[in-house]
Amino acid sequence: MLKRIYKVKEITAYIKKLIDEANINDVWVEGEISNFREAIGHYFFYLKDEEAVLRCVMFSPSLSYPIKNGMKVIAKGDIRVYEKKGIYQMYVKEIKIGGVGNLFLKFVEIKEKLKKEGLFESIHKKSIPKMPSIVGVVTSPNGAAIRDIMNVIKRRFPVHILLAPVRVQGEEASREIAEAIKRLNEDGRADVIIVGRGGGSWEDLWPFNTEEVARAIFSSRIPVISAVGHETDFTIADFVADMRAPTPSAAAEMAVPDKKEVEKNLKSYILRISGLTEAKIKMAKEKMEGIGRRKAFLYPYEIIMDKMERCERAKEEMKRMAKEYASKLKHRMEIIEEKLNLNDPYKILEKGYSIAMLENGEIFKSIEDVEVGDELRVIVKDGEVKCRVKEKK
Amino acid sequence: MQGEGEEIKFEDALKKLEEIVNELEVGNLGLEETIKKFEEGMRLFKMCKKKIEEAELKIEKLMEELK
Repeated sequence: MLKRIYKVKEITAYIKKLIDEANINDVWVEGEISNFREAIGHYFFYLKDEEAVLRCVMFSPSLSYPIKNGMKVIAKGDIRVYEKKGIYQMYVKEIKIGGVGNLFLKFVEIKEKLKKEGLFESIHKKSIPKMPSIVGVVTSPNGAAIRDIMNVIKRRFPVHILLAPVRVQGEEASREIAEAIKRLNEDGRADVIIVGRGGGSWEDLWPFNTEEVARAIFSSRIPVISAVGHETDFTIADFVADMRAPTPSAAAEMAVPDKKEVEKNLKSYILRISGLTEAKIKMAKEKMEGIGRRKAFLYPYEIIMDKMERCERAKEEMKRMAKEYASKLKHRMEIIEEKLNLNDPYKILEKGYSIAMLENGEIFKSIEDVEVGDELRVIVKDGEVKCRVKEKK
Repeated sequence: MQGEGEEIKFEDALKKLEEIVNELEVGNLGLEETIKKFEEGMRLFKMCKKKIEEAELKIEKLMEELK
């Protein structure tokens, strides 16, 4: 800061700014009420513990119970500087006592227990599908939450909503919510589940702080988006859910994508695919044309003529070989014929020999083979003579 | 999903389309395979488009039921 003399107003404004920037809003503070005073409808008091005190003011309180000194309470509010008095104080919006205070302690206890067990750890967080076909919703069928969810889903990307109707406050709510989550898992059709309700008091939101609901969310196979109350409400369901949405409308926005966005993506994919395919076809075409420029396609006759010529030559060669073979064969036949001629028994008849045989055509070589009186056949050059045996000598 | 058990989910179809784009971009597919991928892409695209168009009807029915 500059070294100069400040006015009280200036330095106080500076302190105020520092505290405002620290953003100490909607904090819960636990303490005992003291110096309680009521004036013109507002409450003025201190919250204190063994170590410190915090000045508090509550404007136009609408509490259903009286505030008294010595009460143990938890108070929710914003820390601000009150310039006129040169003090900082908490501007209290909510005070919880007795049973509610106990609920808060219970909240802390359950939260610590489940945290220790690791139920909030990020390794257990399932990813939310980008494009669910069916959105499961666990909430009241008559509440603002389902209407908000339907409106957002209808506007962004209309999908099938599977509503598991439950009560979202009161004694039975916690069990109903846990069972609804289990039922949706058994049904198995939903791709994502929104569990939530619209805004309400701390007590109203209590079912979403129970161990029963927390464990049901943790055990859900289907990813769960929690959407309980407003931006500033944090419940145990939020810690254990795969994703926390500040409101039911926001949960719906997380559950389904924007239709226009999806259509744009889809279009860009198909354009890309067609473009790449077209390029591939063009490339293949060019390659084909390249082949077409080669000799076989440009001068096909040359290749055919060449082949034909070779065929022709082969044919001539075969003809020549066939001829040669035939003449060789002829020659061999002639030789055989000649040899046969030389050995022909009938040739000797030409020279004046004759052949004698028995009546049945058998050749005989000895006188033993014939009897006197037998008829014989004698073959001569131009015919045959029949004779009878007169005697044997 | 109503009926059409064998049809793949919208999100899977989108993922498949993305894969096809990647495969084509790498570019070491043959012509026949490229055309096959293109046809598959076209089929998925049409399916997704149809689903987007049909989606409107489903919510209308559901809203009536809820009233």
